[in-house]
Amino acid sequence: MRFFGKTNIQFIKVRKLAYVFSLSLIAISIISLILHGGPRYNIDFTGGTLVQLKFEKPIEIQKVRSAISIHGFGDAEIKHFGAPNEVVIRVGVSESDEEVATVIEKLISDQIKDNPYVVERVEKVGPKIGHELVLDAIKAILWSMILILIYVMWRFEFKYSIGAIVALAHDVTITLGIFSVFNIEISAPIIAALLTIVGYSLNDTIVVYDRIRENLRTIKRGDKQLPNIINRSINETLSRTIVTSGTTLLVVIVLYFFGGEVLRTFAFALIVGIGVGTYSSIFVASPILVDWKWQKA
Amino acid sequence: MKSKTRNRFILIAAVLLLAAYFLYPTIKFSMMSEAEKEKLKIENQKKYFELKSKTINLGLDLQGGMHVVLEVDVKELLKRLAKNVDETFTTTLVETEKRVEKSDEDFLAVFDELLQQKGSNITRYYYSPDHRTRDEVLKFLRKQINESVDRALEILRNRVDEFGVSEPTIQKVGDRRIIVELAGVTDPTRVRKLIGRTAQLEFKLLEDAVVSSKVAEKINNFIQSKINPYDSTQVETEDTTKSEDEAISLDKMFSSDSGKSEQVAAKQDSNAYLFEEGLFFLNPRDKQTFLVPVEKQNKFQKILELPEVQRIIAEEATGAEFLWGSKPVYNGQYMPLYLVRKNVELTGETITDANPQRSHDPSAFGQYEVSLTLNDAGARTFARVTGANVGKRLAIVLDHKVYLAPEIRVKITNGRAVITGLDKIEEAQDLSIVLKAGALPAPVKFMEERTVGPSLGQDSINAGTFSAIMGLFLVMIFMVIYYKLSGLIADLALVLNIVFIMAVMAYFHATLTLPGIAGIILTIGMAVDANVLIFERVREELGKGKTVRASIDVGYGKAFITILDANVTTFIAGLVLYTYGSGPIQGFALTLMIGIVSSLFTAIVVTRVIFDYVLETRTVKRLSI
Repeated sequence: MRFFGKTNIQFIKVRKLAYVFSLSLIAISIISLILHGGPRYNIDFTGGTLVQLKFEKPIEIQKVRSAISIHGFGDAEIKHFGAPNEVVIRVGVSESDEEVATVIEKLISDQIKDNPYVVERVEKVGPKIGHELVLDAIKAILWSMILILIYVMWRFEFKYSIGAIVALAHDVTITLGIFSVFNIEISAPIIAALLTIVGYSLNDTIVVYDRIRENLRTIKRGDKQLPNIINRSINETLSRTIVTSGTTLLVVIVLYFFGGEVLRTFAFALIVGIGVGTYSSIFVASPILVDWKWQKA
Repeated sequence: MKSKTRNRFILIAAVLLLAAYFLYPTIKFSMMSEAEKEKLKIENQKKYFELKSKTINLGLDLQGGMHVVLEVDVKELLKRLAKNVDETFTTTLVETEKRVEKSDEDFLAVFDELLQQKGSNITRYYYSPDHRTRDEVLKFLRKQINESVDRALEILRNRVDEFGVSEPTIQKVGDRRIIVELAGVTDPTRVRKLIGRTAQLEFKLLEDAVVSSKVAEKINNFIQSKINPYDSTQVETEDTTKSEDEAISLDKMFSSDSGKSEQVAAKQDSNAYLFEEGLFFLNPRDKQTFLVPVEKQNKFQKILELPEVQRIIAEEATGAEFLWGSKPVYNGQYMPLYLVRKNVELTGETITDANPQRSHDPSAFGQYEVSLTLNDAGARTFARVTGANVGKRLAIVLDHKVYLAPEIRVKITNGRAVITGLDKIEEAQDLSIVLKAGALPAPVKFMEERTVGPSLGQDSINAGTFSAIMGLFLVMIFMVIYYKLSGLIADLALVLNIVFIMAVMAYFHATLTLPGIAGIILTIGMAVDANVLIFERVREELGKGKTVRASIDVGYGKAFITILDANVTTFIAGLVLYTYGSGPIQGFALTLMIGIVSSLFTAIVVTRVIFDYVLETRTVKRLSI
């Protein structure tokens, strides 16, 4: 079985359209990020307390809220987590030294007597740790980009690494943008997902680049034919791109649905990233080589 | 078979065997029930830890537990060390805290700066004859801050046994932070109490050698009587017959009570496994130190708790108790155990300073010692204690553990003592940390605290395993449909890949976290990429009309460079993630990296060998791809 035989889709010809599409996605992402005042960080970054409780029976959010609002936790964020009997309560950094988690647990024990619970998870992060985590995350993303850039420069040419980096920035921005549009929180695992996207998106890009490099060697028709060679290379690797993205998406989608609540947003980031990464290696990373090279020539 | 193909076959078989060998302990361990594990732990601690250290370690997010990041509370430390505290001091301290909270500035430097701005001076609060100038005071405070991390670390290490956690992690990170990881502990207040409690440093006298020998002899007789019930001392036989009589008579008299007596009998039986030869002996060179093989420590502790043994101690060494040493001795083989008088001779609060130094005595050349300074009250008590007990040994006990039991040589009247005869500078340093732990504060604050309940951990394992199997299954089916028989070969490689990832994790005793499971799942999806690249190439070559043999050769050859380039980039991302990430994220990076390397082997080497084998043994006209 095969999805594509020998294709000859004119990717290069439609590249201006793809650019417009990508740029508008990036614009939406940036606007959303500005409107939301940057990515929405969770307590890993901002500091604060998270308590996850599993009640015996389903519980209403309002009930939990009224139970803890007595103590001034009225503006806490309370959500169901995966099931109607599980809730997650989030409180920002408190000024006082009190044990927020213990206080919350006690309040709920006192107020909601007919529905006992067990504590599933408590996370308490000091603001300083969160601050450091943001720095570490930025460092990690920058370092991986720099190292990969160097590698691509060494294996290919400088122009290729520009294409790769543009594609990368494209993928990370749009993924962050989609998170912002859907108002999903960025946690430490999401940073891991973003870095994986960086690696994955490049993986795709490099396969195409590799074919371009090979075709440039074997087919000698002069630089003017470069758009054709690039187009041909994308077509030749198209089947592989789709199959690999397909199998990877398959497992990540499984993870999204069956991997449990904790991994759900992580899986979501990967789904978005793999989708965008596949698109960018076909429509952004390679076509850019055409424009870059023409300008130089 | 060609010799090249055969060699590769042998290589793969060897790798597989190795993987099975690495995985065996993990499988064995996971098959054991909790009760069996507990039993092995008491019976042979060494064997238990040896087995455990060869298994894949489950992260705290999977097995439930606590992860705590502590930092020296500089504010609190400064407060406790200060003299003549006034309004300016207190307000400046609060201001400093606010400013430092969200920046990387140094607390002490900011505090000093703010004090100066207010026209005050740090020497006002920390002046002493030893440090008069501002620089000297700052140096002193900095030393205190650095030392308090070590004190906190030492106190925690000493106490963590109280949790009974099998592999506690207590780790110094940077120069101010300590990470504590306790598997299975989910009550943060317990940890808080453990850390918050002031360290108790006490000096207690050791029982004399005559008493220790007598107790040792009696305990030994008791153990022997349990091993050979018919060949033992009078007292013990009397005891056993008595209890047997009781059991029988009860049994006869009240049939309803038979259950109870069975319980008693069962309890005795359940203790039977405790007794064996070689559980302990007195150090031949030091008759006041019992030595217990490290792997038998738990067992011997249980024996010490038996009422019969408690009675021996009460009779032979009234007012004394057994206390364990702090660290194993003789290459880590034996745990020392001391018979210590319960009476506290001196407490650690009286110690004002302790410092390691090189020995000045020419006869002890190359050795180290610790000099000790006591306050006035301490000096007076010390003079009395040392005067009355010259020749006896005084145990230094921190939180019920004996660090050292030096002999009292002379009466010490001036409150300045020297503990001599330490072989290494580290020993001297550790001892001075311990000596200061009772008197000097080591305040820490919780920077980060993460607790996962055991049920959430189990849910995560279940959901993760299910997703992995489901993902694997779907990808395998897809590969067979899309690439037919060749897809089946790729599937084989995929399964081997997962086996290898697990084997490598087990070999390094690496920690599997929830994101780590996600990493494996992602690897399942991405690992087939290498085979997809190869198969697509082979199809292309076949399309050009090449023979099967040639197509496979060219396919593998051309795809190899692409595969390598593409995987290196993902590997770089994994490496960076491993460097900057923490705990669970590192687990993800780790499985991702191992997965990449192992998939290169399975997708390129393993599948190639199978193709070669098929092509060599039969003529293939058409490739199922």
